[in-house]
Amino acid sequence: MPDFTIFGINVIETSFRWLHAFMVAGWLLFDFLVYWLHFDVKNPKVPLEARLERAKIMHGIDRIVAYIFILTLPVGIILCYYTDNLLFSSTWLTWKHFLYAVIVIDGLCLIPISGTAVRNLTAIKNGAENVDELNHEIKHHMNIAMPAVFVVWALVIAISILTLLNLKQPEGQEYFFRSTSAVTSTQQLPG
Amino acid sequence: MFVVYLLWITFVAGGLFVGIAAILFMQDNGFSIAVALNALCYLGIALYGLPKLYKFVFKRG
Repeated sequence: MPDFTIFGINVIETSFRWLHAFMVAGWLLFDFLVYWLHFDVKNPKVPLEARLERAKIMHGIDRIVAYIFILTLPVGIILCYYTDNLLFSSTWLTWKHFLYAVIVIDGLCLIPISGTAVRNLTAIKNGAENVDELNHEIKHHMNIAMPAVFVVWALVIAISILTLLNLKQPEGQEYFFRSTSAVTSTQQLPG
Repeated sequence: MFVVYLLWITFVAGGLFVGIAAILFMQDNGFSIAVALNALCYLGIALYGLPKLYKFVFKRG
């Protein structure tokens, strides 16, 4: 593996680590924004123009989240190989991959209902007659999506804590937030 | 539309990569519930995504 060390810092490894961490932080932040915006989008009492504008912002943010979501896995896999931590070499990393898989499955449930708000609000603006039905569909889909979003938040936070607790400083390979326990053999010697 | 392609490609390619890696890992190191769950989930995601990706690529419009 190429090793670009400047002032004792491995530039490639550190860049990938920070990129990975920022992607997860951005993912969580953008998800909070989407959550905050959804209240106005599903509320029929808010003016149509404002709802449509918020729905378009929400859709744009969702697109950024999708790119981050797509890139998190390959960046993580590159980081694994670059730091010589093979995919399932440690228990915490294996469980972390499993939690990510649950997030992906959760995301698969959200795909069919994404874009409903923009589509229905545009239809209302263009003079659709079944306004109540379209509004109901927006509200219904948003109410289905939000529990799935809460699951994503919980899992991303769990993954972040799991990672922090197992974070090591490369030089001495000591844990940042917990002390390294000594491993002793419990096997009895024969005789 | 580009992001949708990317999503399905990532689900299928990533799912196959991690799922097969999990199976190979168990072949070498024996059964482990965490690794088995990974294999199950990621291969499931890949299998679910495969027809969707096929539909997107070949049967659009």
